[in-house]
Amino acid sequence: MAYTLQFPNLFGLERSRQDQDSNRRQWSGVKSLQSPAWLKETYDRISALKTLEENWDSYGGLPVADVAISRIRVLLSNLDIEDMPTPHVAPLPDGGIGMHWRVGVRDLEIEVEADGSIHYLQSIIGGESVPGDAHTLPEAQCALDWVLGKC
Amino acid sequence: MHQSHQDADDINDDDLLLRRITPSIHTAPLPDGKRILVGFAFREKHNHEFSMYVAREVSPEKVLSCGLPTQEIVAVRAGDVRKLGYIIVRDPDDCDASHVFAKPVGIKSKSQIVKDCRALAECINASKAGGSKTNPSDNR
Repeated sequence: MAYTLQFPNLFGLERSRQDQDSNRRQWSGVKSLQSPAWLKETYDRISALKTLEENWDSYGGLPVADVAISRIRVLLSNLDIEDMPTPHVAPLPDGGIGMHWRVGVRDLEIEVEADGSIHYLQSIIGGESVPGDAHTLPEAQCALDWVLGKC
Repeated sequence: MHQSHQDADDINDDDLLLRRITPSIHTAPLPDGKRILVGFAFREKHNHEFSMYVAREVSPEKVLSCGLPTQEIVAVRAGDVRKLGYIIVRDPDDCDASHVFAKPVGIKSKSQIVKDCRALAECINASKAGGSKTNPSDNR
């Protein structure tokens, strides 16, 4: 036989914590109210890349990898991009996807490779270019914020 | 498979090299409506080399005829390619005998090649902004 000890005040406290946790879980991933207007258009453009066939660039370019498509969607869904202008989205010949932003003299290329790895190149027009790898979302966020002068 | 990996010394630094691009993919719009070439334009499946044609030996129309209907031509100076640490190797292909590919002199990491491709795109953007010769056929 199992016995459960219940202390009314502790139960109430625990219930409250559970409710808070439940709320956090429910809402933490929802961003639609803050999504920029260009996001849907960008998702559509990314989806359209699926239709590209081999040699789409006339130099033997590979079709875009499903992993790259799903990874870039996750990336855009989880980054704070409300202040960002519309990115230029392009397939890459090795099966990845690239995004390009230019804000003032700052230029940013983010690449999601066919295996899902993420790299970026930050450049000042007429100046230096600095490449980097984004292994985590905060690293990707920082790369993105750089183009707005925030990071 | 490429057999010869020697820089073509008959191609001068001032020679223009032609490359096909797809404008909707390889150019990005700016807020003022202008479009700029992006570094992705010089990327290829095998990241270490990229194809071009020697402008004084072939017409842009011939190069375009070997590509896709939506493509256009951009031109880059051979000297700008060499300055980044590449040799220009002759490699006649099915399209034309003027075909060459640029190959790094030494081993380059992928991130270095990404930087180089962007630098080449900026060379072309800068030449257009400066009003210098951009029509590939002017070099023939």
